[in-house]
Amino acid sequence: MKIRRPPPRAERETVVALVDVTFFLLVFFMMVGRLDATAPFAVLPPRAETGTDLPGGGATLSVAEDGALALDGAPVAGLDELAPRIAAKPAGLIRINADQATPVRVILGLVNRLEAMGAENVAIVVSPEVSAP
Amino acid sequence: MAIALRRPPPRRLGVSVVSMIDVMMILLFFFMITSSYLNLDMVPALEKSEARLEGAAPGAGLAPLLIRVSADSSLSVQGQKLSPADCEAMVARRLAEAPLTEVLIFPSGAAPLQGLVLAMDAVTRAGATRVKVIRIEAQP
Repeated sequence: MKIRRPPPRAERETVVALVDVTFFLLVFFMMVGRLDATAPFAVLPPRAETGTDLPGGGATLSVAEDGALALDGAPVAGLDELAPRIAAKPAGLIRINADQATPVRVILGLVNRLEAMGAENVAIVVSPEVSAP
Repeated sequence: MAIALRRPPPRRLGVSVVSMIDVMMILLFFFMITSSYLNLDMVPALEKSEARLEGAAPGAGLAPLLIRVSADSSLSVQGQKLSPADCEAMVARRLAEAPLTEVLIFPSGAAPLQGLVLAMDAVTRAGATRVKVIRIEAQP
């Protein structure tokens, strides 16, 4: 009686190393990146050496050079949408992410209106590095 | 004659990692594409500070130091144009004489935000802690 041996199985390449590398990359990008809403227009923040670390959370109000506004990445006409959020959490941080060429009168006007709406914590986003034009 | 044929022991089925790799790859691409990698800081524009609530601030009798920011982002103190480094040195000198001196930054409405941040940067580097930005309200 002739008994056939099963053909030897081809050695499968191990995927463990690939999983390790992918996992490291995943963790790296999760830690290094920020999940902020980006403005629908170009914003080049002003440069400052004495800025402090920008905490997460709160609302981001983007201001274009021509004064156009965007709240958390969505274009808005005014600050009306921000009013209920400020009323619910007055101490929440509101970041003004404005272009470095935006006239000061626009920014100070916004800060005044935010203060009138009850906001207690407003910050201007700056960049510690020389940004490319 | 009997021949005992042993069956090979059944292989243990391992959990497939292919689907896990798929999910991890999708997560990886998601974080790579949606994240922003700008190094950003902040300068406070409005803070509810303790001193404001106390009423009369300490050092109220001292003459404040007014720094103007013109439309071309240049800084001037008492009509004299100063570079940011000179401005910093001057504020530092004033603060050495009277540490509670209040520094007022008065930007032109047409000045770019970078000009205002430049002035705030110089004043902060000089060690000033009582800094205010003032503006004139337009009358309708």
